[in-house]
Amino acid sequence: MKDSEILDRIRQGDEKVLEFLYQKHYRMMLNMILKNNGTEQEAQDVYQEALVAFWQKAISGKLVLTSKISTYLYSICQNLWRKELDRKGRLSNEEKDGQDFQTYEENENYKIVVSCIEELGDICKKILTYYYFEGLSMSDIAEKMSFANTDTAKTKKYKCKKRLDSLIKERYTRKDFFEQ
Amino acid sequence: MNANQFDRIDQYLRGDLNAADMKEFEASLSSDPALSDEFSVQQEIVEGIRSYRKAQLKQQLSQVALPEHGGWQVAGLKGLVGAAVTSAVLVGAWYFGADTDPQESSAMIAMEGPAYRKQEVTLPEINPVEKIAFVPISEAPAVREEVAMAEPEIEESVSQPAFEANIVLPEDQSGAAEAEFVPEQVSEELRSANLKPTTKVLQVDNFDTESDELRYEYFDGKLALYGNFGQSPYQILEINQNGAKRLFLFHEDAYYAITNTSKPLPLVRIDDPEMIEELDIFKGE
Repeated sequence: MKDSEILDRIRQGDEKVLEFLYQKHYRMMLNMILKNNGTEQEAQDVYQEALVAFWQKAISGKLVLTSKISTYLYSICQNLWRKELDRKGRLSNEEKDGQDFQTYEENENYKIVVSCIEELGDICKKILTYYYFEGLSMSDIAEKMSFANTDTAKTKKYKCKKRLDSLIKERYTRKDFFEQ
Repeated sequence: MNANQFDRIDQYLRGDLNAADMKEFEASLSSDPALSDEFSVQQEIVEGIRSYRKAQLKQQLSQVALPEHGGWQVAGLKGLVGAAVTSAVLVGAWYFGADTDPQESSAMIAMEGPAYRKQEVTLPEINPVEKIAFVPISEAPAVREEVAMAEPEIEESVSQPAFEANIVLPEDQSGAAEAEFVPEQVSEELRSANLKPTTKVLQVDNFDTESDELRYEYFDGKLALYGNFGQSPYQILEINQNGAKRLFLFHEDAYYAITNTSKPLPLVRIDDPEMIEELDIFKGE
């Protein structure tokens, strides 16, 4: 598959392309990370992270590609792995200093938000993630979700967001967010 | 909080505001505590939505069947082949260092910026049980040092030694025109293995050859050595243990550990007598 075709399919929201890229270049990323003190699991995490970042940029139309996709992905992986090695170095110092490290996924705020998102219907989940993660415009969302027009998409997004805000604010106080 | 303010928060968090509007919004955040509070909550919610979606995509990728990486299951054996090639590289570096007039290095500084000496040695396909031909330094066309290394892919049935050391020793100077390395101890294992050589690049560069401070940088399979190693040869020991690779540098009767780093670090001498003893054994002394 040519790079231009890959980008076209990502813009159409075809997630299978991500799986294709994951399989196609996995070995290259794995070798780079194994050679630099990483494990297979770490290679998978880093490459998945890189692909998700690539997906987000490509689908939002913010990607300006000046190299082959494989080269671009490889440099994202290199940067992510360098950061991870630095983090590990800092972490080992923090452990020595008796400090704890917490990933974002372990963060209580994240758990609160995710538990409330899970209660939304599939349409709301899609609209909110398209809008806030993929960065799609209202007209793109209307097209993808087969809504009558952009105004319908706007109204739906507003209602979904309001529902999520209410769920969070009903169950959790500001204290939960700011006094952890 | 009115609908307009919510819209503004949304636009800010999505990066939709232009520079002037962004500045104006940030100013209102500092002057309006209620807006600032709501902004913090919305920021957390939007971050949560993004992380939720990211986790969804990563979960999807985790279900994908990935190709196996057989080449790394036999790191020990492969490493020994690697040692043969690495030997060629480093011996080359040694002879190059020995034969190079310091003035030539200075000339290179003027041409290429940082002070370094490089050479290029390309060994596209190597049968690990054959002698390795070494390209004479004097015939090396470029000042870049790069070696294509054979990576045997061995079937899983091949037994892997629990602990293997790769020893890189400089050959006698009289053999500068043709260095040979025969990994005799493993030749039987290698002969019996189903080897399918592929190509991998190992790169060693030497920078700042005028400096007395010895430093190194090792990332992505590239080793950069900084400082003046003089006329003494340096050797690299690559030890594969349970698939984990460790590098050591031996120079003027001292060992130094090489770890992954993307920033130049000083070479730190190993003082632990047990470690030195182990390394001596692996080095064959």
